Amino acid sequence: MKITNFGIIFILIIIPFMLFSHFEIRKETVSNFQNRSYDNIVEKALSDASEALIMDVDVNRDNRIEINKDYAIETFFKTLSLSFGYKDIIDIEYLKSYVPIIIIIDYDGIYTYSVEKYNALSGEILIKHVLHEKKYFTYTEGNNIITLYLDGSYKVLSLTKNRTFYGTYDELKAIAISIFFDNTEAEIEELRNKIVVDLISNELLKINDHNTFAEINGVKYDFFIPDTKYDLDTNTIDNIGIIASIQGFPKANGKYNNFSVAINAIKERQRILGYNDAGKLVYHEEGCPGITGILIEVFDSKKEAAQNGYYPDYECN
Amino acid sequence: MNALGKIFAIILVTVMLFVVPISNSLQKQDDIIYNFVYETTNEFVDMIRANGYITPGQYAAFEEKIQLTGNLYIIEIEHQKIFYIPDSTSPGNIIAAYEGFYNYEILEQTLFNTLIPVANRNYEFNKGDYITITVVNTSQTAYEQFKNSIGRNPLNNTIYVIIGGMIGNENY
Repeated sequence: MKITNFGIIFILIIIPFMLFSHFEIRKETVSNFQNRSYDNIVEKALSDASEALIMDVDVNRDNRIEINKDYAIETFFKTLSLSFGYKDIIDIEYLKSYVPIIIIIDYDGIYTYSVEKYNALSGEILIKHVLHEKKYFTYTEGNNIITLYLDGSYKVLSLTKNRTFYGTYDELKAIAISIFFDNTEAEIEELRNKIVVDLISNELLKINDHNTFAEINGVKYDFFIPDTKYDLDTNTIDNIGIIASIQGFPKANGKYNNFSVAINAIKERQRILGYNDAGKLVYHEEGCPGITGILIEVFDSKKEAAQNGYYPDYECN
Repeated sequence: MNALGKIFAIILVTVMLFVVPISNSLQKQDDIIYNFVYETTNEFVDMIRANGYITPGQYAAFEEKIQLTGNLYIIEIEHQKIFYIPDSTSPGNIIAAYEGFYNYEILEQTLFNTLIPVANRNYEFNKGDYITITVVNTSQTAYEQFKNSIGRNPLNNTIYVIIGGMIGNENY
């Protein structure tokens, strides 16, 4: 045989391997793109949902905002479907088979959005995503049921006195309603974190129901315990927020899973004080060391203060 | 047999020496372009979500930036404006509904409408509205051209980026 024939044989042997590895690499590349863009989509959906949670909210009688839980869930799916290019309501329903659980964290408890099997009025058995009842962060101590709020206040339902007491740690400690408040504030905060994380971990078990539901819908995947990018044990949850999980979304190479947490950073409303300092209009943040002059007006934001002709005070920052 | 073997060898050499490497490098080039278009569009959408408006300058800069890749693109902007209507079946409740505005309203009637003074040409969104931007290539990319010249199945619009989200601010 001539040398060229050996060349041909060599190439013929090598081609299948090359093609195979080429396709594998291609798949991996596409899968990487998809991973990144899906991460981006879920992050956007989650941040939109947590934005929607506090949009146009009312204040309830505890002087706390009432979160928009339904609107937040709607927003989550809307952003998700927009970014996947889905327009139809049926597509959005289908998208739900990849979302095992959404947990919304309120100040005093959590709401879970997941599948539930129930009997409809028409007698059919339906499996559908529903918003479950609120579960509170509670702790029972003797005859007292204590609800712990994320912002550091407590509600004590005393069964012996048949009354509810509500207040901060110091206030409740002063009236000595329960031996629970003999613990230090740090200990109680640690306990609260534990209660919150335990409650959330328990709710995550609802993913089990989802696996059945997804299979009925024709979605099959290898189940993994949620991949915690956000470690629930080490990060404290100290404000309202939203947790969502994506399970088994198809991509070029395997399935896409995500478990993300978005915690809102809600601060108390900022008060901007407008002063007249010897004929000069200046605005200050509260507690600014350099306040001089006469208080004229209080604004909600620095923007509003500037619109009314006030200038910033540089000592505030 | 010998002549046939030579022809076969020539074909193999052309494929292995020219077609495969060119195809691979063009594909890589397309991947990079896709990445670039994705990142640029993502940045643009994030900016709109954070600001709540588009200025003609911002849009022109975005368009210019993605056209640096050497391809032509169709940019479709969809704005879903939220409005509320009373729920007739249960009094006191409201229903949220969305009205769509597209390229014509956003670009021709607002951003690049020469009848309006430049200072007033910003397109404004409300908090809670949705925006979706779709970018699709209309001209053939280098890889598409190459693939279409040797393959039978036409390959088009390989760069297809769609990004959407809710407007979270009204910073105007």
